Amino acid sequence: MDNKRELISKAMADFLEIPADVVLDLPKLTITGRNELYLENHKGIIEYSTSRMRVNLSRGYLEINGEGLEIQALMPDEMKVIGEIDSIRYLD
Amino acid sequence: MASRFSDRVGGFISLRLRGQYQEKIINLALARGIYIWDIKRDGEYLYLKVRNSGYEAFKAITEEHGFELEILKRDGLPFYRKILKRRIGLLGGAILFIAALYLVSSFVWFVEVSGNQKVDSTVIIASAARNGIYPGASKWSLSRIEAEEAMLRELSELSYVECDIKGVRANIKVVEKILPDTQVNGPCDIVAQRDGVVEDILVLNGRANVQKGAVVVKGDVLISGVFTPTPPMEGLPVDPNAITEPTLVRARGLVQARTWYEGYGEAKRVQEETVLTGEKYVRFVLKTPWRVVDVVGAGDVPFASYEQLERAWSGPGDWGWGWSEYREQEVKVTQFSENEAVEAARQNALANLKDSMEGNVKIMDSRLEVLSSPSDSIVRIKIFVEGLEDIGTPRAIEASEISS
Repeated sequence: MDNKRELISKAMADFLEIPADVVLDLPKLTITGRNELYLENHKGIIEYSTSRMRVNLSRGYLEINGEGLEIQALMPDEMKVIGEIDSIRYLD
Repeated sequence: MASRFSDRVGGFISLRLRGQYQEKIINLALARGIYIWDIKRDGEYLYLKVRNSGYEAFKAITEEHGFELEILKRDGLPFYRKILKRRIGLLGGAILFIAALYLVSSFVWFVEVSGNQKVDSTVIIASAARNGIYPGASKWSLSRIEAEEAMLRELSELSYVECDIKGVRANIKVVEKILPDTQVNGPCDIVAQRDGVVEDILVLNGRANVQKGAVVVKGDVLISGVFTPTPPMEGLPVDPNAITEPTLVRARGLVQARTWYEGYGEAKRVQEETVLTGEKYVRFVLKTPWRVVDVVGAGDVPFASYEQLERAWSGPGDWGWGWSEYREQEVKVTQFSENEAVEAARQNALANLKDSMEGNVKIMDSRLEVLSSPSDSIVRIKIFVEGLEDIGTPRAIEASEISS
């Protein structure tokens, strides 16, 4: 059921050329250099330490590895992470 | 992203959190809409910042889940209030200072007049004072336009008044009326107002009494206002309606004449001037009831000739201070050659002469005569100037003149 709705939403978004992050609640990442990450549409924090961070998404989660990670700002659906970022991975 | 400025205004608290699964607290805070930032982990501690308004709610969450919470620092405007309370005098002084500055600057302290030539400044200032612009007048109660209009009504010699109030300074700009010459109404002659040789005559109304080249003295009639009709030529029929009696008109016209002026001027051959060399010597003393202490500079002034500036203050008892500045002076002697001195004297004489000339005199020629002997220290000269000007001035025709 959910899968069907998602497919319809995606088709609508494609057809109407509406950004997917708005319609499908997909995460949107903005990375400046390797020290600053801005993430929209997150669903909370699963794990946080200075070297590894996992952020819940609408589907799956995002893993950020690095050094000296710090959450500079945290709001209900957006967050800004600073620190030396090594890798970003999507996981299910 | 919340602005740092609003965080500062509302105040914020730096916290330290200890306990297991700290992510849970972060997510709970997030779910309840508590804004937290600068989240940093250091070992078993989690450092974060929370707004003053969200602190109680955040504290409730941590207590509920058995976390240890410690306040590290309070920051922002609400916490400065405590500091300000301690320094109420400073705050009061600052407010008082600003208020005093504002109060003082809302008065007019200086009134200046510009643009007047014939009307005395004191008359204008007195008129402005009657209409509300005077030193000490409050700016909020005076109406610039009303004052300008009232001044224009009061001073009939002015054609325009503008009061420009800048800060504490009121500048009154005026433009004077150019009044026409005192008019002679009714029949008149044009007479010479000074001696001269007529160069050119233009009659607009009346009859020319002199011709080009005529030598006239002051008071001579140049253009007559008595108009005598020419008698009819012999042999022609006499027109019974013709006017035979002399008629009186208001004579008008221009009479350009060469006039002469004589002036005197002098200049010194040797000029002595006292100038400052730029060397300075400063002395500052402190006066105590026991002795006078030299703070800066002691001993005699090292200059032979000097100018002295002094400032001193005497307080209660024998306390006080004195400050003196000595500026070295020297006499500068300038020697002028005879030609230079004569030229200076000539300029001097011309300037004097111009002051005494009335109206628009065009200088055609000038000649000078040196009165002093070459050995004199002062050159004296006499200057003769030939000018070209309109010498005519109206004069009413008297009854006796008509009968003759």
